[in-house]
Amino acid sequence: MKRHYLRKLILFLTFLAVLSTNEAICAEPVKLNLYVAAGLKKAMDVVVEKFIKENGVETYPNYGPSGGLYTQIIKGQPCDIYFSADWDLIEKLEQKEMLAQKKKFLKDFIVLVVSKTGENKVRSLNDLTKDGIVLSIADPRAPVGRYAEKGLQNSGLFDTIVAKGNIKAKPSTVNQLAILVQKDQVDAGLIFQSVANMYGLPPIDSMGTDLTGEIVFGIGVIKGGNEALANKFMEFAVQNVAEFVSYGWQPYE
Amino acid sequence: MLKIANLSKSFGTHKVIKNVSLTVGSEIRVVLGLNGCGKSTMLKIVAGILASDNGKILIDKRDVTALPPEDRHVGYVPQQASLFKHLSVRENIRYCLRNGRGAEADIDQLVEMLKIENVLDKKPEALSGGFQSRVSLARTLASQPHVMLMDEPLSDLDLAIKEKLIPEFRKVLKKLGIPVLYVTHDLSEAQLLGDRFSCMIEGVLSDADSAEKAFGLIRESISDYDLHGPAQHQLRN
Amino acid sequence: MDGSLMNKIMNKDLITILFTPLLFLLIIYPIVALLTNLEVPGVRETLMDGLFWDSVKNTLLAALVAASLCVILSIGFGYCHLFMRNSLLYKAANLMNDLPIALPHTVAGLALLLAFGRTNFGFAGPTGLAFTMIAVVLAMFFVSYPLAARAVASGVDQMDLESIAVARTLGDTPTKAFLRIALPALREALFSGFVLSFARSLSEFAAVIMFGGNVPGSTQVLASYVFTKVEEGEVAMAVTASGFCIFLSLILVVLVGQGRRRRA
Repeated sequence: MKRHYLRKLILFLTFLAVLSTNEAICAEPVKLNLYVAAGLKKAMDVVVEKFIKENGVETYPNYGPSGGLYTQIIKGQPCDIYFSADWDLIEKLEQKEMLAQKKKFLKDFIVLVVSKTGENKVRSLNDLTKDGIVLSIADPRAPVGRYAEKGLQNSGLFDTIVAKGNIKAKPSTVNQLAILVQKDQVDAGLIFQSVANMYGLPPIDSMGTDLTGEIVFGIGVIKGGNEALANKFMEFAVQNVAEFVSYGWQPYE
Repeated sequence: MLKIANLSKSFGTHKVIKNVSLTVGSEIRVVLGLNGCGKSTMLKIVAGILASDNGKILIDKRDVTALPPEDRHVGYVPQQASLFKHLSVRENIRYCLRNGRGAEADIDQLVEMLKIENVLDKKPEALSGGFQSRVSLARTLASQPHVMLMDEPLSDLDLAIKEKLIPEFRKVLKKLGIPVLYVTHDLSEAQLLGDRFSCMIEGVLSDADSAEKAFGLIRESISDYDLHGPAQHQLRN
Repeated sequence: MDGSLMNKIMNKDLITILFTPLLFLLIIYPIVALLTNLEVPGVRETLMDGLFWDSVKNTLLAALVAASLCVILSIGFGYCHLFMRNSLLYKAANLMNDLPIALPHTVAGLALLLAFGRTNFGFAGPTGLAFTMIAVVLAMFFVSYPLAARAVASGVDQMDLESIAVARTLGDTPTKAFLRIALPALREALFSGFVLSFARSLSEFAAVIMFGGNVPGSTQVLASYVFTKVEEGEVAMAVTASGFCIFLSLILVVLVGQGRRRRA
């Protein structure tokens, strides 16, 4: 009996696989491969939908961590346009001569958010050096982790915080970090203003550009892809920057 | 004395034991039956390894129906010797001592009677089939059971070894003078071993005057099948 | 006659023809490709990195404790599998054996965090059990336990149940029979359960990052170290650390092989 079901399942799956490949082979209209930093997802979904409606172009957004997407692009995955949470990665692509166009798109800031328990213990960045604070910053693999670390270093707080062992958790994405604060598992976290906004965490302090350096979300049009369409999408995104502003970013000017 | 009264057991919808009653005094009672007739199931129920659906089991007038195997004081000798592989022969035989059963002197005597003095320090896997059977019997007898339950312990042995072992086993069992319930499908084994005989056919137990008569009843039941059971008929073609 | 003979030969050869190259292409080739990418500077830099050795130490220690915990709990499961097959407890435990395998590991990490984090376990410290080595162990345990439980269950299935029955008639309670007769017979199953869950623990990082804290030097594990290095673009260091993982796995494989041979 069991084997019978298994065979049916395999047949069904094969059928599905054949169907889907057929579709991929048959559908030959213009399409746009879009690689987008995961943090931009909510706003980008709206923009992509508008773009499809107005232009009738098939668009495939691929959301992921900026670094992971970057690795996929340099390993030759098909990508026409890349939205990165990290301007450095755009510049790295340029050094590798893989870029047709680049543009600084949005600005973001590192802000300090606190949990229910943290509210009473942490009121400013300086409080992070107090004893017994449970702080979380993202792992350096995520740009937000690097910016936060740099900001703490430039404000002269980092060494004390490390010496006291206040950094208890280094999650791998900014979203995981936001969840830790939201679920009251840590006292405080350093995250992007946009992410704080998305998770409904009111910032109680922020780091200026003087501490973290400029935090720029950039756009790169990849050489050898569908460059004309990619350029069109880039202009479209810039025109619709209001969608991103509503989530807490500032347009780059 | 072992008394089984109105015992029944089903596995799902299949009735394996059908209202079996049997009394065994200080004797060797051999139950003859084909493979799958329910005789092993009956033994396991008496041992407490399986639960029955209905019926009672009394050992020396004590109702043990609801007791777990460890509280029944029965000796169970399975078809394969099933010795404890990680223990030596000596440790196997003395196993009951760990639970405060049996006596050292008694065990020495058993070892002598069953001629296993020379293999005491070996591991079970180093023994021949005949010796494994001897050790298995000794291990069970050492616990001074009130009833012996034996599930064709010799059926896997070579004929010549079997012929040699049967009288020895009979001698040992008779000497203890406890009820022995011995099930087998082998007529000659039954003849050489038993005092009284029964046969089990499709879960129904009936007495017989001799091993031959018991075997005859079983033989008849097979020819009944041949007349009425198309499945058996097909098998033969 | 001739045709069937031909068929037999074809069948046999087809398997060798298909199997051998596929094995090489899909399993051995990627490992070789990784090892050929080892570079001296990358190796040197990695071996000089204190955080690398911290992560190795954390991984081995936590995986060892987690695997031991897996074995201990799977012994309990083995008891239920042997004596309590019809009980509700057993059925629930059996269901739980499959759940962690089906669960995405980041979700598993989140579940552990909510269960053992400071909202419920605040008495255990400022972060509850989360973000400590205990958390690393628990995360590893959570994802590896099913492997140990399954190994023990299949060991019980292969056991000689009559010897348990005999032990019971010789006066053993279920617990005694289990400890004295079943456990020794399960030695090999327990050993392979230990090795499997140890190996699984070594490679776990999603649940460990979320619940363990992933702080380099204190709670970071080897798998997460490798992942971080890949994302940082430190490919040479990532390759070295991966090579080290393979080396560890090879040692395990050899150990298992020797354990089997000694028993055979």
